[in-house]
Amino acid sequence: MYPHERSLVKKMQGKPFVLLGVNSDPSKEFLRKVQEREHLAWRSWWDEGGKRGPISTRWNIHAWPTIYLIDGRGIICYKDSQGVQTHDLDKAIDSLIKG
Amino acid sequence: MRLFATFALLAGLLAIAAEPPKAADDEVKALTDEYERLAKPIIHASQDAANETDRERILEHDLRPLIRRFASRFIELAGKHPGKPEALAALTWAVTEPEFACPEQDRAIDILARDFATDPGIAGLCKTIVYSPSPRAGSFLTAVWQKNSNADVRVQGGYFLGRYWHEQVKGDAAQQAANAHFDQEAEKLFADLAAKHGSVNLTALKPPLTVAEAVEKDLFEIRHLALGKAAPEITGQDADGKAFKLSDYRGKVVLLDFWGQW
Repeated sequence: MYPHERSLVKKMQGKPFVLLGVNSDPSKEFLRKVQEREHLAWRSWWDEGGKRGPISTRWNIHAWPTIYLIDGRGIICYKDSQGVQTHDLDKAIDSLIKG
Repeated sequence: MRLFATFALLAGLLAIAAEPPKAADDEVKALTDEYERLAKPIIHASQDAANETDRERILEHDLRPLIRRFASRFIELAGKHPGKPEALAALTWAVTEPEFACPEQDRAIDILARDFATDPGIAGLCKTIVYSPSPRAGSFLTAVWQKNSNADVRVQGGYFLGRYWHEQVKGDAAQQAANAHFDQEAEKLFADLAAKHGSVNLTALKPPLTVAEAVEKDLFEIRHLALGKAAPEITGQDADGKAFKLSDYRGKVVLLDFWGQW
């Protein structure tokens, strides 16, 4: 996911788009190190250190990665998980930005 | 020279005779090791690829054919020990290792459904198969749900069948509309499981939940985290301890990624 996400964030610069993560790693320090090492320049909520954190529980996440696409009004428009189809995802993002 | 060769051959035969019969799980391990030896340099090359296109090409042209070749060999190995734990281990490899759809994976799932749907130790594999790209995955889970002789394992088969159905409902509006009937089936099955088997422990989940606890979350997901619904608010802190929330980004398209490096 990282290479696709890095290029996506770069491509969408200046457009009304943001990538946000919900991270289930064990500590904030761990998360910060991964973000630095992998050059992940987007924000993530730290989900209190596990796959059963409060955000992942509320969203009933069973597989990682799981992605949701949410439009400017806060409505869910797209979902994928495990083996995310990046071409389809890019198409969905483009159609939301243009629409 | 000929004498030496004969002697060497004899010594070799004696050595084989002296060894205990090769344990079948050693065969699984040996095959796994052989695969890992061959896959390692390919995986390294893909990690070092200059860009995503190159990475995909390496995986497509080098890794996937290797995985398919070994999946065939694992199926062949399973065929030598039908119904035995070694066969289960070998078939599990052929099912879980390909993260892409292929006929070898389909075949392995069919054999599992035929020979291991009644196995009392199959709940863990049921959970894994939920995310299989194989179109045969549902028939395996259905077989466990219908045939397993251990009531608790049977219920877990049913629970993961519901999750498998729900997992098919993803993508954009058109893709989800085409698969919407899966969610209707999942909702019915979940409600039925909660009513009749709510107290059964889903031991394949880590940590385990009861059917009632898990189903409540799954029904919330089907009803409220669906396409066209308002995303629930998210609040929390980033890696630096700064608080922020999802609604801060209203007006922008948000790609929300649940991830972890572990």
